[in-house]
Formats: sequence, structure tokens, C-alpha cells
Amino acid sequence: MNTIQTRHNLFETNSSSTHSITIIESKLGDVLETLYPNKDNKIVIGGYDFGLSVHEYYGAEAKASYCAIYIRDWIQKKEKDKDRYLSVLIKTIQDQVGAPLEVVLPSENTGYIDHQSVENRDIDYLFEVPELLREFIFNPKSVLVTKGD
Amino acid sequence: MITEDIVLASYVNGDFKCTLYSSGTFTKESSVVNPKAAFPSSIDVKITNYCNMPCAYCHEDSTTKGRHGDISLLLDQLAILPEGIELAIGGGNPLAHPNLLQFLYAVKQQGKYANITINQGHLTQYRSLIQELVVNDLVKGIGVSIVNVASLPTWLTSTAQERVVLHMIAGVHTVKDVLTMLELGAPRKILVLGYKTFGRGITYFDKTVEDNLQSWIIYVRSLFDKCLLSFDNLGIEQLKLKRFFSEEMWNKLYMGDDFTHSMYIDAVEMQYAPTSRSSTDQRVNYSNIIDYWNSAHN
Repeated sequence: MNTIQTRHNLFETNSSSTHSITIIESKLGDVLETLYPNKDNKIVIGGYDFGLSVHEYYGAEAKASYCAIYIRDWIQKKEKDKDRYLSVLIKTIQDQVGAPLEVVLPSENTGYIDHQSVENRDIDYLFEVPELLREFIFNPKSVLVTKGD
Repeated sequence: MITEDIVLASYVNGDFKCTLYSSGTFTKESSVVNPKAAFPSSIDVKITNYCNMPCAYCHEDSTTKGRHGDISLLLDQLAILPEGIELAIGGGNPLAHPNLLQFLYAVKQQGKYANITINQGHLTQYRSLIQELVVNDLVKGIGVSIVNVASLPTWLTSTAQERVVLHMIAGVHTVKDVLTMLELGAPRKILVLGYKTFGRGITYFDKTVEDNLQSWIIYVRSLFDKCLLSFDNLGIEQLKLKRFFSEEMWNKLYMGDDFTHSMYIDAVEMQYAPTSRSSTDQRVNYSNIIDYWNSAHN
């Protein structure tokens, strides 16, 4: 095993401890994103329409919206543990935001997922492994693709 | 202008191969599990406790009654360490130490690399001294502890742009303060320090600081694409920074816990400690740095 730890482009000026991590603007590809609260200090997830058109979603809000609508409209149909999955989703978002702020998910009348975009398979496993869910929503390289037949 | 990043120093430190570059980049390479350093690659050195700035949050509790450290004794302590290591010199106000130049020339003679942290409020008063440090390459990095969100003097940014790192304290300063400094044309290297409830930082801590820290946690990610951003270990912990990184990326960027590659010397009290935040019972009087390091790590 060979490991290389790197402090980038600055000298150790810290006279109270050390520069323990440096983040380079041009190397942000793998850095996870977050969601920011609105003026009421709430994390609001909009209701997206995930239809038949081919579309790629990379942003955290869109992917969180997909998860929320999936739980609301598809888990319910399968009579699975909707509340537990919702709790996992909300806690995952709060953990990544870094604070237990109120998370407002799409209401009943906003957003939908066309059945074709569920791809005949469920994504329940994401809610069983919160780390996977976090990666899916917040990793800018994780992509959600919607499409028809 | 693109300048070539040349190797300033390359040395073996225990299980690590360390390389310091002219850009300030520093790498630690190892091929073993749980590698250990045989000596500190970086030392935080407090050379004085004298300071005339009344920063209410000063964790060193420095005042105009503060004493200067004995430079000769300090140089003797450092002499047994190999070439190539870095010193992060601070205080108090290190620029006020009457033997600062003598000390820095001696450090350079020893083949070590000095960096210094100075207070924004001292820039004008010590302009000629700071320029002397830069012109003679006596210090590599210059940390500027930001007191007021305001432009830095052009004589500093024009002559030492690449050396300057802005030190901002999470809780004292806000994310918006960082953005404002950048908008004002400040150097784009920022070190975010965690808030130390130590020294005067104990009484300064209030609801505003607490709220500012909470806000940092939520909005710190918005700074990632704005500048070269670095954090100390306390900042990493307080701002829950690890949540943004995969384990693989973290292992490449994280330089290590306090006292695994760094330590602290208080030249005023003539003591060693793991960090500047170490409690009294963790501080030991001068003896031999290598022995101190080994006894703490074996």
C-alpha cells in the first residue's frame, strides 16, 4: 500500500495548529455537495416532474426530490415501510446539511415519477444503506437518468 | 504567470518520505500501515507573548505585559532537528521580538523553513520589517490574522501575494466575511481556524459566536469553489468537514491528527506540548525534542 498525503500550494503558517486539509478549487469533482436552507431556515425540496423524456439529473435537490416522490408514490403502492424510509431520507439530508433543520418534502400534489422512469426495479436498497443514499443524492458524479421505452 | 514548482527539501521522516515544494505544497508518502514520523515536520513556535492588539478572543491571552522568548535557547532546541522542516512562528506579536531577524537568519542557516503569522493590525506599523522578511526570503508563508474585513495594503499583496494566507476564525468571522475579503481582492488562500475556547476565547464565546459557528457548518461548502481553502484540525471537527469527502479523497488530503506530524514549542515558557491548546499538565520543560517526540509516540 502506498499513500500520499498532500497539502496544496501553501506553507504551514498556522501558529496555533496545522493546516490539516486543503481544498483546491480545480479538484472538486469528488467533493460531496449540500443543500442550503431558505430564509425561513428550512430545507425545501421541490416537486420535480420525472417524466418520459430522457434527462440526466446531477443536482442534489433533484435527486432528493426523486427519492421523496419515490417513497410517496411508489413505496406506498408496494405497502412497504414508507415512514421508515422517509426518516432515513430526512436524516441523510440533515446530516449532510450539518444541522437538524426542518426538511420540507414535495407535497402530495407536486411532482411525479412516470412508471417508465422507475425502470421496473426499485431503489429501496438506497434507504437501507444511508451511506449509499448520501452518495446518490450529494455526489455530483452520481446521476439520475429518466427515460421512456 | 506560471512558475516552476521546485523541490525545496526532501527527507525521510520515520515511515514517511517528505517533500516540500517552492509553492508550499508538502507531500508525505508512505508504504506501510499506520506510518509514524520520527520527528515533527512542522513546529508551531510561539516566540513571544507580547502583543499590543486587544483581540478579545486571543487564545494565547497575549498582552503588552507579555514576555519575549529566549531565541538562543530556542535555536539550540531546534538544532538537533533535520533540515527541511517548517516552523510556524507566532506569538503574541512575533514582529515585536527584538531578535526576530537574528532568529530567522539562524533558522535559514539551519536549513529549516520559517513561516510567520502576523496580525492584520500590525501590517502598516511593521511594513519595512515585513518587506525585509520577504526580500531576504527569511519567511516563506505569511499568515495574516484578519481582524477587520477590509482590503489588505497593496504593498503586501503586490510583493507577497503568493506567500500570504488569510487566517480567519470560524465563529469570530463569518462565511460572508470570507466572501467580502475575496471581493475586496484579498489573496485567495484562506485558512479557516476552529474557535478555541482557550485564553480570552473562553469569555468571548457567546450566542453570536455559537450562531456564527452554526452558520459556518451550513454554508462552508459554498466557499469550496471560491479560493484555496484550508482548515486546522479544530476547524475540521467543528465544521463537520468530513461529510463532504469520500474516504479515499480524505486520506489523500488529510495531513494527520495533531501531534502526529506537528508539535508546539512555547519559547516564552521554554516548554514543549502537543499543540497550543494543550493543557498545563501536557506541557513539559525543554530537554531534547527528539526524546520528547519518541517518548510520546512509542
